[in-house]
Amino acid sequence: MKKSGIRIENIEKSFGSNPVLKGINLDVSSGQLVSILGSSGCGKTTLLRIVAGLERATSGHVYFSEELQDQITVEKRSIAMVFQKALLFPSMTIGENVAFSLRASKNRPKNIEKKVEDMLELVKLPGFASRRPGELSGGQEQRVSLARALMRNPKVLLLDEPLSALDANLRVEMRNFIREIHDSFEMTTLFVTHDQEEAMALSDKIAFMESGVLEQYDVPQSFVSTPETRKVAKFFGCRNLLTGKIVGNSFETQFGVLTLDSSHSKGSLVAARQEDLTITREKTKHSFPAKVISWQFAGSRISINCEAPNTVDSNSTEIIVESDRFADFEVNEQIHISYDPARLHVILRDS
Amino acid sequence: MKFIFRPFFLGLFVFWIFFPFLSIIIWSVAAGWRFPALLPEEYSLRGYEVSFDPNGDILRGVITSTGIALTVGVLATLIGSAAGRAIAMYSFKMKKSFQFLVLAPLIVPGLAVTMGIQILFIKYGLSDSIRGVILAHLIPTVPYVVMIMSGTFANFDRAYEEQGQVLGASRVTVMRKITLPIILPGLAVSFLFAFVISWSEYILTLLVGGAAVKTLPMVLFAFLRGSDLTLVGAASIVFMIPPLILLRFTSKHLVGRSSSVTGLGSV
Repeated sequence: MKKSGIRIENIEKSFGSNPVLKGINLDVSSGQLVSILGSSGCGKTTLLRIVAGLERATSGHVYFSEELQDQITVEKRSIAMVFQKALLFPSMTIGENVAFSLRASKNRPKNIEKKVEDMLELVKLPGFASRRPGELSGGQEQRVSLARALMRNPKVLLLDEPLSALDANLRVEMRNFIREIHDSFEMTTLFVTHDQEEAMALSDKIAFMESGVLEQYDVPQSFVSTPETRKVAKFFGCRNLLTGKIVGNSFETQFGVLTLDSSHSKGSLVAARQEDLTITREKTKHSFPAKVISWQFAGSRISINCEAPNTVDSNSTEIIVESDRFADFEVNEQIHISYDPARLHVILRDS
Repeated sequence: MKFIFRPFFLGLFVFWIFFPFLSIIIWSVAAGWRFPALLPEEYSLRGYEVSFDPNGDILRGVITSTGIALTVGVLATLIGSAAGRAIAMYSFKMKKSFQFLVLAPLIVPGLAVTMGIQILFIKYGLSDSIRGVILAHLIPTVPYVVMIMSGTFANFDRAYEEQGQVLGASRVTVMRKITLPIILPGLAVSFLFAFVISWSEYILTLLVGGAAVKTLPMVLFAFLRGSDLTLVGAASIVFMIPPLILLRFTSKHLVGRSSSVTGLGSV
């Protein structure tokens, strides 16, 4: 088993009587880059601030490499943190900003200037040392902020939405850059973001949070193929969450019985991703009848709203199918929706 | 029309401000200046000779006043900054009452308060001493500093301090290297205000210091009663110089978009 870089044990936090974090457990292997993902107000930033030591947990513990951090003050923890804003110190030049952690430490190293120049080169801003913070663009400022953090040579790098203030093109460029930087240093990185795409593209693992609860902690693709809870499935864009009764390997829904690829003894919710369904004119081995209601373009794909007539009553169930090409179906046309039993995922924890 | 009126009114304005000074400047070098004459018949530097006499009251007054005003400036800036930061950045119980109490000395007449304080000062042996005068001068100065500094701190992003901490800087280093340079304009303006108020304070000095502490305003009043206008003119010029020197070094923070100026009205 890999060594633990950061271990978060049963962290609880409330502001007044308002609970923000409800028993968070997270074990990040040494050298990994893990994203803490969630919509605003889910507690992800508070969790990061607790790891940094800027905030005190109501209960629970934080360990870096099995070393308890709870009693260690912010400045003595082996961390460096980059915030959403670059926060370059306005009274200092870029070079002095980057050198800040070296100058603030008790045993100042020699040749600080050389180190600063090397670091600026690493973040692709060579020769910027004598410039002042106001002269830089947003992306450059954030790179300086990153350089300043890396100068401390931290065991743990904490990034609090460092890209959300940048515009879209720059964000993609910067996230690849952060991954490169992470790989070339020996450190464990926690990256807080609300951007699902960013988290998927960048992380070894994602910790998805909602309302102060860690919903799922897994590799990125699992959030799409095997979401553990309804909230995860919804956040990662699964449009069809079907309810019904599972008996062995058959799933009894209101519009018919679907086949699963293995038997389950519990669960009542099945995630069927819209891109895993296909519309066919003929009945197939695994399909059910439905009617086309409408469609709309979603980027380069089309999203087709269908209705499957219920077998138990006179209502119908809405099913959304996404296709990568335009199929010439008429509105109100009777069609069949085919599915792959292996792609139907049973959600076991439906909170 | 606009082109005629603007220089005219500007000239009027300048004249209105500087005319009183003009007569003081002329008086300070006049040997004799009687009624119908537009300008003095004779000039002399007698006023300045007396003013800069090393054993004279005026130079000693300058030294006493400078010492007191500098100390008051530093103390008021320290106390007022702490209170200003608390008001601007933290929430605590009874904050509204605290704000009111801090600013109360600006509204309540200082004279009334000092009458009461004087009794306490006598009891604790603070009257007729420089220490007592310095303490008394904090009453009218601290509220101004609180006003200026709460404006400065309202515009200060605390995230800068956190950024310093997560880069390994201790609280002292964070304050010295990060916070201090950012709030420096506010501190400079605060110090200037406190210095000038203390420098020209008369009533409080008179009541608390009695005859023992002779600051420059005390000396000036004594001369005014003596009706030697040449001496009064010269002493007044001397009186004006230290605040002007201080203004020279802090004026860049008083104008423009300095946060300490825009924040002045935030309390």
